[in-house]
Amino acid sequence: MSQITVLNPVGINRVAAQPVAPRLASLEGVTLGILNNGKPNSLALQERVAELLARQHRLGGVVTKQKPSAAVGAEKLDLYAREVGAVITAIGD
Amino acid sequence: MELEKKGIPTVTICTDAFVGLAREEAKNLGMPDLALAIIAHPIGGESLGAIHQRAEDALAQVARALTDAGGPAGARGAPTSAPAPRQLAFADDDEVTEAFHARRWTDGLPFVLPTEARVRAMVAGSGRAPSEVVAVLPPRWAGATVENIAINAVMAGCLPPHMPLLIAAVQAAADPAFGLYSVQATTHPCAVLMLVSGPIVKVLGLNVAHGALGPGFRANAAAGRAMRLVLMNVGGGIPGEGDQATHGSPAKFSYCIAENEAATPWEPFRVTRGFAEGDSTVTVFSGEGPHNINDHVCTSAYTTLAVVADTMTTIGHNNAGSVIRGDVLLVLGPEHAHTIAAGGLGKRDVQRVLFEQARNKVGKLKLRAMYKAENWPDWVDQTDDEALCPIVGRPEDIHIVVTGGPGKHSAFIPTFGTSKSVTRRIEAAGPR
Repeated sequence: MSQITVLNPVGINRVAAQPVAPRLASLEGVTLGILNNGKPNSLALQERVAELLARQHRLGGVVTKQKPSAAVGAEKLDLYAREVGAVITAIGD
Repeated sequence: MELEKKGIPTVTICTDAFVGLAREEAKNLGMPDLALAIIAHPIGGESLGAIHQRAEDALAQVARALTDAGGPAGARGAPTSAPAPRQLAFADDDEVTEAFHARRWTDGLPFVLPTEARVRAMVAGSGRAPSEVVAVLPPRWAGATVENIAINAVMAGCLPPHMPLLIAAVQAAADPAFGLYSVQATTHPCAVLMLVSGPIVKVLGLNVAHGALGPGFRANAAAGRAMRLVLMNVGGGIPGEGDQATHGSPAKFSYCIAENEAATPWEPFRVTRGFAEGDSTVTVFSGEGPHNINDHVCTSAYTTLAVVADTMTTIGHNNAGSVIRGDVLLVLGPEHAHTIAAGGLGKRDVQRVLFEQARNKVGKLKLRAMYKAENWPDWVDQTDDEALCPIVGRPEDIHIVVTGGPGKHSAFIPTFGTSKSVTRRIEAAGPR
């Protein structure tokens, strides 16, 4: 038999889920974007992944974009999205 | 995520220490199927050889994630978090206490049980409807209702008159300029510091004398604690989950200070921030814990400020590297403030002197991590090791408040560095 009732202190997220973008049939001819957040070694890591991908696939090129800082969102993403067919980002230290 | 919404397949390379945060964030922002390529932590401070090995480890995951071969399926279409029950029933008080601690709904300390009656009284203190959403708080991106804030305020030991202060502080923290997502999620030990200025300081009984930054005063302690509980329980800043702080900070328990206006030789803080003398305001800073400035010998403004400037220019804090996107807070004790003011310096003069004196040599800053990544003023010559770099972009980004009791101490509070303090007027509770 319950004797005390309290209220739940937790906030609720009400954002509806949405799908990710359709995936590519292959990476052949695709211009690969690198969106870099400036964390130490992150660009070297992303560039190396792109270099290794380019050895396996004939990429259409690589376009790197720098975020103003790791804690600030990238600017002009509309323009960037017209330049690239797929993007590699990174999170972590 | 923004690129995915624009139809561009993306993959996020993520060190394994950050997978929990990345998955939670993707879910909370409505894209639970965002693709990750997971590698070993860390990448900072590793050799180029180790970075190349991480790239090898990521390679197949990246290729799979971007193509039909193994990319994420469509969204599951489920709501991102199931509605939790508003009311919870327990056998007795002890069971509530144990359950709240076990569910990580507390800061680890005892708390006041948020009963319906107590919460109703707290809501009434706001003069607002309980269901009103006053802000959306990351990294959970949950809407903070007046009732949510009131529940956490009850737990923290607040009284109903605290509510207008808490609501204004939560709204200030949610302002995009403050960058709450990063302030909450970072490995850095920043807390959310509330600085109160104006007539409400006396109304609430906030302490501005001995121990102005410390314990012993319910109004400060409970208000600061309520903010922390809101950030954890509504915003999702749970250590190791939405809060990735390496160490955290004692400042994260409670961090609410107030201006000692009677002891201030200059205009009040809120007036410097563009508000009216008769307003009450709260300003939020992404503050580290305070670092003491001890000066028992200086008798002139410039020698006192030299000690202050020296304390501000250690290179380990974030403002040393992330210059133009942050600001800092200088808490002057009344005695230091009067020594400085007696030298004929106004608040803006103090800001200018410190902006010019609190500078690090470029060559020294190169010792610290991330200097290249961050944001220095354009006019600093990064190729000249002898060139001097300030800790903020403009003199007015060195905020000054006077508080505390007698004694020759002040305090420097560095910040997250990619966050600007935000001031809001505290609106009096209307009749309901």
